[in-house]
Amino acid sequence: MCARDALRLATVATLALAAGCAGNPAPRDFLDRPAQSQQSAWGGWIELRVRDEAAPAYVARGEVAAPPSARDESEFGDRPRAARPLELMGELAAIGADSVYVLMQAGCAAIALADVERARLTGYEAGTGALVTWSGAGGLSTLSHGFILVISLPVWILAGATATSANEYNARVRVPTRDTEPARSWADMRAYARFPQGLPPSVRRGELRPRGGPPPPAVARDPG
Amino acid sequence: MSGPARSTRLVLAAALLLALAALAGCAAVQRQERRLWTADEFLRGRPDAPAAATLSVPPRDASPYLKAHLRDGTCVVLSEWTVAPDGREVSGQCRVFDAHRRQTSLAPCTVALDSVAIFETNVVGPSAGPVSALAVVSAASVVVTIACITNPKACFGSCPTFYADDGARSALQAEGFSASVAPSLEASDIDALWGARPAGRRLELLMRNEALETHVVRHADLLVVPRAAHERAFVTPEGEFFACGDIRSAARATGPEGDCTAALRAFDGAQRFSAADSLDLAAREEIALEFPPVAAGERWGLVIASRQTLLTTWLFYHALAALGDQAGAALAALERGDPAARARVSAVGDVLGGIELETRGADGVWRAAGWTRETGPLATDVRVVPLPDLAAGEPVALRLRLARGAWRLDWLALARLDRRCEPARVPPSRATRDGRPDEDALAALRDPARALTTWPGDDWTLAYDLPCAGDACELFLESRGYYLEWMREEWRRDENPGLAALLLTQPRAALRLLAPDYKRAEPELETAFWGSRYVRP
Repeated sequence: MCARDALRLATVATLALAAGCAGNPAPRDFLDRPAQSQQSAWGGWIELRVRDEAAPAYVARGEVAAPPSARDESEFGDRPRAARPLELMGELAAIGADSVYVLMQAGCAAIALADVERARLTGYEAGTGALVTWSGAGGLSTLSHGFILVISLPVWILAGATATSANEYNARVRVPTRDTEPARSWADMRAYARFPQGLPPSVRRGELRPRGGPPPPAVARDPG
Repeated sequence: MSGPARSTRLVLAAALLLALAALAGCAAVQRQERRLWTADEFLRGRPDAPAAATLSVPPRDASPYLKAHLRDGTCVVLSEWTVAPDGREVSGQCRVFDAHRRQTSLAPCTVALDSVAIFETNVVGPSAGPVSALAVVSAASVVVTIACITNPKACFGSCPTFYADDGARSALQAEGFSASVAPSLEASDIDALWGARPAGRRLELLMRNEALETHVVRHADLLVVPRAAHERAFVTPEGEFFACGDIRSAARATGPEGDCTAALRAFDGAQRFSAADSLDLAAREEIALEFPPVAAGERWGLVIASRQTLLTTWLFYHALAALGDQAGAALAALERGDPAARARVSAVGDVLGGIELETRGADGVWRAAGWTRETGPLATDVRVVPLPDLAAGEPVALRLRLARGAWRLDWLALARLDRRCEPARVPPSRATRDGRPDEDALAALRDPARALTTWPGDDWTLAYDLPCAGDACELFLESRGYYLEWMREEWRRDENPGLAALLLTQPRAALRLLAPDYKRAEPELETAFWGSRYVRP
């Protein structure tokens, strides 16, 4: 491997590491760092997917808009509206006994917990960028290792990916959890809701607005 | 700025960047443990609760902010918070947010526990696992960087290196003219391409400059020896070629450490080597060999697959560092044809010596039978040392004498020298660089009056048209040229005229003087070496 090859490899690996691990799904500046989030009162960023069979009912009663692809297909009459997966993302407002409340630009959607196929919450900005930078610098420093780069660069990539992944995991709660993760539940997400006590009766959810900045679309993308 | 200085500074810059990134990572990467408490849980588990609670609320120094989520959706963020002695109220500096999270107040306040729906504490600390993992990798990476700066040849290679397909991958096959460290020492070097597997009648060699050196390559020709399917061909240290139809591994090999037969039985990358002597780098060791009896009238030779350890490289670098700013003058004296200078340059290598071979005569006396000394710590070379007539019908007893810690032996075998061969010289028919034909480089390699000059990072693919199929010929590479080691900034700081004089004029004393220093560096050198791709033959 000549110096040019090594430089290319290290650069590509570093970029891949950075791209692969820049995993914060929230809009820019939506989430606070741990130190700042101690002092703020906003909810975390939640992404959830509604079960296919339940989605049309939410669209029909105007709780959420239909996914664009489903609406397009329905114009041809070959599929019912909202037959495609319905995904929502926004600020977690509250988790009640049987519902989760998601604040989006279009309003606050209430989804029955039983209708959620899966959900992922990011509670705070985990600072993974610093780890990516660290790993990238480490990867580039292997240029000083000569042929040992063949060993040390993969070690850096593996360690960097593992460290950034573990760090992101610290800030996340999934429901249902993956096989490799400890069991988590909706109750674990409550701590990162704007209203961890549940939606207060005096609050009109129609008036609630998500945290500033350009909010995400009310209806999410087609994951397929 | 010179190339080496630039290189060193780049490495230092990389290390500094890594250190800064590590510092930033340690500071920026934090994790948060957020907990919710009902008012009742908070009352029972508050830091100053009289009775020990099953769940204890983190104290204020752990959770400097306490959030009180009120029943109407208001959130009060308390700093410098304290709990009233009766546990019914919490006081502090309050930042109050309404349900829409608009800040409505910033003032000291007291919050009654019965108005609180839920309390929230946050403990922020370093993200220990990920940071620790990267810290460990960073430390190891810095160690490797330092080792590579200390001994660049262990990491960056040396001399022109030649790679060829060995049937599974592109593998290092040879290093050219390692002993030719100045124009006046330009020489030809023949290396067996033992593991190369040509595709039909075509062989491609990748020639690289992987060191901080300038290489001047006069030519890189193949020497092709036709052979039968059951034969292999070898070259002697004197440059004679022999086809050998009977090759026998040693029945027993014994070194100072005991039986080492297994390591020397085949050319398989399993190498026998030893540590240098801690008092004298020129101290010798012996390896006794025993082979099955041979028939009368046959001529035999000992096949030796070996390469040098990094001892000679370390000594060479030490000599250049000791010369410091005088290195140029010393090389200039060499170029002027000063015989004394030439003798001094090779003095240390001569004292270290090569691999000496002895046979035991019928009278039981050991006698010198030949020797080989192929310079270079990277590629394992295979040579045959012809033996004097051996006594028929008796086990063949041989003995190797070599400097301790100076050689890595991969394979020792007895080969019957069936016939002497004249190799066919095959110059490259095509040279490509970055996938494009390079006619100028090809012309330089084919014209004896010209030479191809290469710089660190350069590589060319040289293609050869073989006169026979790959399995019907033995391939050798004859490279000719010289190289110029680049002086390093750090070497200039180590200038030591006394040591330089000692190395050049009293090499035996110098090898004793430097033994402790080398012993301190030896384990690290070997670790770096074995970590490199050169561990494979």
